Amino acid sequence: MKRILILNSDGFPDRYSQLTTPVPTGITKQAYAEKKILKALNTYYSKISVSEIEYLNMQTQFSQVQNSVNSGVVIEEFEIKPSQSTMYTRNGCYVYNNGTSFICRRIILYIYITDLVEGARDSFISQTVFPTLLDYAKLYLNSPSYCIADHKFCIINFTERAITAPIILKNFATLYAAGMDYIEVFDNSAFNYHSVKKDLFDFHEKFSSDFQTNYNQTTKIYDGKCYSINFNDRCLTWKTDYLSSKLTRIGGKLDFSGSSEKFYWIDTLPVSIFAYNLGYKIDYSNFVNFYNTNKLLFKSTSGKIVRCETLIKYMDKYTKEN
Amino acid sequence: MHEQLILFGAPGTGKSYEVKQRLSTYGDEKKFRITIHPEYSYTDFVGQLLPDNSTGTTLFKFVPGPFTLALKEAYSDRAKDVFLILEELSRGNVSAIFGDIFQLLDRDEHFISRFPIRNNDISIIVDPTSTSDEIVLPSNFNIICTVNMNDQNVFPMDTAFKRRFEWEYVSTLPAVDAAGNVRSTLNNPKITVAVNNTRSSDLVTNWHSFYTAMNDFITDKANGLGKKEDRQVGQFFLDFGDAVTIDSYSTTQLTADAAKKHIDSKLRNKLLIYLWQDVEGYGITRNGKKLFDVSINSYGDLYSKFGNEKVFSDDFLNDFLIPNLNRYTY
Repeated sequence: MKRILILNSDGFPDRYSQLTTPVPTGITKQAYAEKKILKALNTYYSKISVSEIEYLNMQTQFSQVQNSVNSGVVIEEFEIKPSQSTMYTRNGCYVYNNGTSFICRRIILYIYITDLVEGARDSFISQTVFPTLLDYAKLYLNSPSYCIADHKFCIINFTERAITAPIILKNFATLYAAGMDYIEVFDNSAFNYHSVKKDLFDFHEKFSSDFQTNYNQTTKIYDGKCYSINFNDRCLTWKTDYLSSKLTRIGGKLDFSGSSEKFYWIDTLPVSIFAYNLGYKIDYSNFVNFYNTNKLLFKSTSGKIVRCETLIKYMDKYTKEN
Repeated sequence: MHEQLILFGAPGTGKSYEVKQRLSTYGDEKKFRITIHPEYSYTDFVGQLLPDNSTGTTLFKFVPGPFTLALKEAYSDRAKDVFLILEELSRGNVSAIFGDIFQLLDRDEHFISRFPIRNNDISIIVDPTSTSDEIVLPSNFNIICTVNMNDQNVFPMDTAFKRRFEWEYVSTLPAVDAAGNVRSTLNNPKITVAVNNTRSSDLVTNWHSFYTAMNDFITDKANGLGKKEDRQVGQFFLDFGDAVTIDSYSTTQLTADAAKKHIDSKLRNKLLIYLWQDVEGYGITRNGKKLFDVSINSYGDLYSKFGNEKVFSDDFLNDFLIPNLNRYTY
């Protein structure tokens, strides 16, 4: 059996040409980058032993993968009997005949890989990770598992320089705290996962840039943009005033301006999973009311409002509200 | 599905059949079925180090058992249910078989093990993306067992083990369809019971009516044997087969006689020996009631007289069987 990292051929390996880190003589940028990525992956997952990287349009082999330029998968490849072909295909694997035997490819890990350069804002998380995460959540809402999808997720931070934007660091930290794995290729300590404390107060004190301003020492309440936390009552409450302020009308129908709804999802979902696992009550009734009030005012084809519904259903499932 | 379940009931109630029916919509690759027996051990269940010389040098390699293989399948796709089915659970020493796996049986509100255990041999096989040696049972990992708590040659189960499972009683009553109606033709042949030496006097009933009357007698404290209900038998204690069942009601004498011969043979060789050895036994009941006639002194007597002479007691015949000859119809 061998394990392979597959990255999207729409972005890779061309992206390696943007590498600015000096590459040792006699080695191409691609070979250097691949070696770095594999080393980071195999170091973090000591049992995984990924041996190579492949570049292709994943949809051609795995239709269930929510495709994007920054998406990837780790698969394991092994020989099967011809009679097992149908069974593996039925279970989401890709089976092909290499001329001498039947080979099965099975996904074991979903990957998100960042750009080499830190963006002006958190577009990687908001434009790539979150929309597809919610699409996975929708796909697996009825599964017996409470995970978002059928396999774990891992973010590979491929930026060459340390990320400094507090909002991006917070998003990485909350995703990690909510159960997503995180790997740095260039070991630039943008975000040290060991520093993520399994305590909601400490977490916000370290990663929320507005914590000093919005935390009330007397009431023990942190009043953030999208949610508030009452540390005495151990309750995290979703707020919707920010989201309401971002509603706009286009052609008589409601819409969210820009990517505001994505920023809201990023801010609320991972921290809610993190808080729930620590025993906090999650009150997202404001968001349910917001959705019920506005859902018919959106275009029926709006993917944004569908994802809002998925978010509610996933929270219902995760917190066993329904 | 989120099942950690033990189906229990008397022998022949169809516990294994019930499991099969419930899981009939799942692929075979998602079901791992084991029959437990007294020699079954932790290493059979979880896995063991065995010599491997496929590389030319003899090494010891961990060979996974069904528990580890089922767990691997569950981890390989967390969106699909996987079932570990343990038949005849009480025929093995479950404390020894489960070992440290016992710790994983305590599940949280997401049906994930509340407490992990460390086991590198298992961890490396089931989840290559794990960053530690810890393993837990995931939400899609289900365990369904069948058990007959007080059958012969069984091991006791400790309370701590038992309370980690949901328990579901499988009744001795005949199987019903989705609407709740008895499946009257299912394993329900005609039964004749001799009350003297004359065949024309034989009582005529059917298997459903006969075995339920006998079950009543087994547990009835005032007028029967007053035994525990796990001494009763279920509908499938004897499997007569569809053809024999249909033939037993044939109006063609030869066909009906051939079926009766087959049925009596099953009753004589499987049911009567069970009733003689495990139900009536050699003890004396509090009220002095007996299932068999006082003239029956040995199983040999019972075997030779069954079908030709009266073998059951008047207490059973008059108070339990005769009033219920047509409790169920074919």
